[in-house]
Amino acid sequence: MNHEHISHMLPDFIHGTLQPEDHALVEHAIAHSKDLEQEYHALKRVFDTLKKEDILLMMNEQAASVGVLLPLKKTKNLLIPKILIGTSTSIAACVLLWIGISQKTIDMPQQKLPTNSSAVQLADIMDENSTLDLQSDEVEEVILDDILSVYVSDIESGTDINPLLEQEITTFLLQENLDDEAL
Amino acid sequence: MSNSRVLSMGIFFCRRRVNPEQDIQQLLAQGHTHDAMNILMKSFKRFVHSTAMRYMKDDEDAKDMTQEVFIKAFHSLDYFRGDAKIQTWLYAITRNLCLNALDKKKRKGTHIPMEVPDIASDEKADILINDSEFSHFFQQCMSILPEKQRETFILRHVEELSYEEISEMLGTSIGGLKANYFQAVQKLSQYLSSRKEGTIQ
Repeated sequence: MNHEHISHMLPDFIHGTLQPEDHALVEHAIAHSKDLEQEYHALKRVFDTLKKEDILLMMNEQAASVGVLLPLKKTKNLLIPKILIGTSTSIAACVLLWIGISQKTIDMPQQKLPTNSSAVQLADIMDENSTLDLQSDEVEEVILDDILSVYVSDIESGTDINPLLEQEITTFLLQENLDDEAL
Repeated sequence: MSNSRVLSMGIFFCRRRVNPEQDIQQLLAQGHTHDAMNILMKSFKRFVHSTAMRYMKDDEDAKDMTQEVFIKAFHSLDYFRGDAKIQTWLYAITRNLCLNALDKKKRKGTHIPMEVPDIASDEKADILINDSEFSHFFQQCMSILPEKQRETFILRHVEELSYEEISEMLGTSIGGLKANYFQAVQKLSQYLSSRKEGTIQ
């Protein structure tokens, strides 16, 4: 075993985590080499200065003020491919769907505003995410995923589009356009 | 709270294991996602935050990242494969999110602090008076190390992970990790010596 190989084992030798045979090997090498002995003392000084306990204490103190809030429910599986979310393709797809549904509802006789599951679902989505920081990209994506899921399920089930949902999607599309223009 | 949930939480608090991985896996298998997440956050908040802190080099950014990591973990629990350790999985999420955030910052031209300002010159390297000074000194020490060496040093020395676990996290061979670890400690040793010499002069 050469000097380099023994050197690489020095940190674990100091920690006492080497196998007994390796430990004995390093111990023997240190006893017979001035260079290795100096290296051993130099590395030991690092561990004496940067003690694991002090680092953990510092990390615990820093992490103590970290608050984590989670939504009440996990997001449902998407009915549309996730890769489309947030891209210009998804915006175009939403616009086309929206136009198609608007045309359909104009041709149909007026019905009562939906008071069924989609309205409740939407309220749930907004409610469960309301405790989170809305600036976060992650949260925004979660809300958008949920809204689009409800939107697509409404379309598939043939129910009227929830006006709240339409409003959310309109806001989203307008914001996306503004962002694109800004870029 | 239902009886089964109380029981599940009771299992965790009664056992008080050092390693919570098994409890989390058990709660997940029983479908108690929120309880599993509570234990996961309590057990790994420090680990995730300190990892994020090393990448982001800013406390507020690290806090935001910690929040995002746990939300991502919560929504991805279904995809978590039990064959990997939860800590390894969380490390991968944290690293990816931090690197993405740094990349976004870079593209937007936001200032990313790369170096920690030096402590007053009359301060001795090995005599650190209080916690905030130690924190500052520790950040300085870490800032001199390249990413792989820094991560290897923390994961081995502080988190006491095995080379096999670190190898899975960083994608480096065990031989490479041993060399990285030695080089990291060697660089820190040279840094401490140079600081001491500077103080004496």
